[in-house]
Amino acid sequence: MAIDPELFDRCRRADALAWRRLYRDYAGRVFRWAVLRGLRAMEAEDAAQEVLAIAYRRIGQCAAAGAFDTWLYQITRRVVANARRKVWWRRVFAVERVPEPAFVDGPGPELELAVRACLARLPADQAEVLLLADVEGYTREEVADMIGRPPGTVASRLRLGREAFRGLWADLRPDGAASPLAVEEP
Amino acid sequence: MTAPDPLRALAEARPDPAVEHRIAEGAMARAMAPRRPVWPLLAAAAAAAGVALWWGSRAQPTLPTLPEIRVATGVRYQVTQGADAAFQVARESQDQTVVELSSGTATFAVEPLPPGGEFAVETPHGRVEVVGTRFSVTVEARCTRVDVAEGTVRVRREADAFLVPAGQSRSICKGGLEGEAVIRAALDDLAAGRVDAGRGRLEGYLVEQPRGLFAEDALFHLALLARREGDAAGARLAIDRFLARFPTGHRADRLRALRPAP
Repeated sequence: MAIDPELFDRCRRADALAWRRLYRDYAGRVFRWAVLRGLRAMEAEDAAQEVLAIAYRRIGQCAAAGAFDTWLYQITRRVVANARRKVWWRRVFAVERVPEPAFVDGPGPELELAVRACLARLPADQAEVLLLADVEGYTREEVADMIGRPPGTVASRLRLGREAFRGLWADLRPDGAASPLAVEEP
Repeated sequence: MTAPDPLRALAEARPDPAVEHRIAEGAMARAMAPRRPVWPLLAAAAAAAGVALWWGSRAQPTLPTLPEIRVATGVRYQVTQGADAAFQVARESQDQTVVELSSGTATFAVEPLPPGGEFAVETPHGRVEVVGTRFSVTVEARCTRVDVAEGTVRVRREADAFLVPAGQSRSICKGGLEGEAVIRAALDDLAAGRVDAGRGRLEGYLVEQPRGLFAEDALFHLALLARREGDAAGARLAIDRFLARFPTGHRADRLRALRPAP
């Protein structure tokens, strides 16, 4: 869902009421991006606040309403990368706790955690493309804009990511229940 | 039976509405907060620029900025906008002037209104109506503060309205009476020994805003209150009620330690 051009224009004029509406519309989405990029719920909440605050300060750098999602995602990438760097010790010393479900609407806590576990084990560039293409439903061209890579690279990462995900899913859920990639590739 | 598609199902995944609310409010607070300088170099550069400006301004003194004066039909008023004020006239007619202040501070001096005349300032949190006065309105992340210098203003939010006389300030917050102001008032009541009044405010907030931004605070203080009153069963119930919603964090740890044994 792209941003309403009128709302975008009002936000560029620093209309606080418009920003409040934009924050309400985008809080859940930015939070979801952050969680599926590997942050815990509390970290994702903090990152989402930071992303939206940066968007407020730098909205002048976003050229048009049509580019808003791409621009916002690029901010999210940087903020999430910084947040992950801050908890480097968790990966190094392998002190990861069992993650808690982050969503109340969705496929349910068990499947949510299984999907997040598989995404976390994928190479980061493949997981990112799966998140944008298969979870968020952006086209390959849109994903290419969002991550700053050619569409061919996106297609390649998507193919590799899906294959890897299938393998991980089969290992994690040998009963084959609810394969997340059961549908045909477009 | 077709297997579900969890990856795509995650597209509909949303956090708890309270989390979304906290993200939006936190982002608004961060966005509006003054930014801290990142590099000491910037501070040094700013100081150097300041010295340069001061040096340049000695030869050509600047005049003070005059307040902007607007005259509406039937209503005369004067407004001084802060540098950060986002201000516009929303509606203007023969006997009505409504201005919209979406951020920052603006100070208004309004001449006595003609019979039936109306002058109001609308902010994201509510509406300030003039009775004939001089007052400031400051829009902050969560609340709008009204400081009245002369006369009286009526502050209105949805069905609630109250008069603010000269020399007093009042804040209207998002969530109005069920927001931060309610929690503060409840804590004031409890500190002053008005236990029933405090409990009533906290319970009232939870009834009206069960997923509100301050639900955690309300539940926490109700649990502490129950514990303090020595009713073991009531304290267990209140603490369990808190832990069911907010199972982690230092407040949860503290309440677990305080929970009376059955």
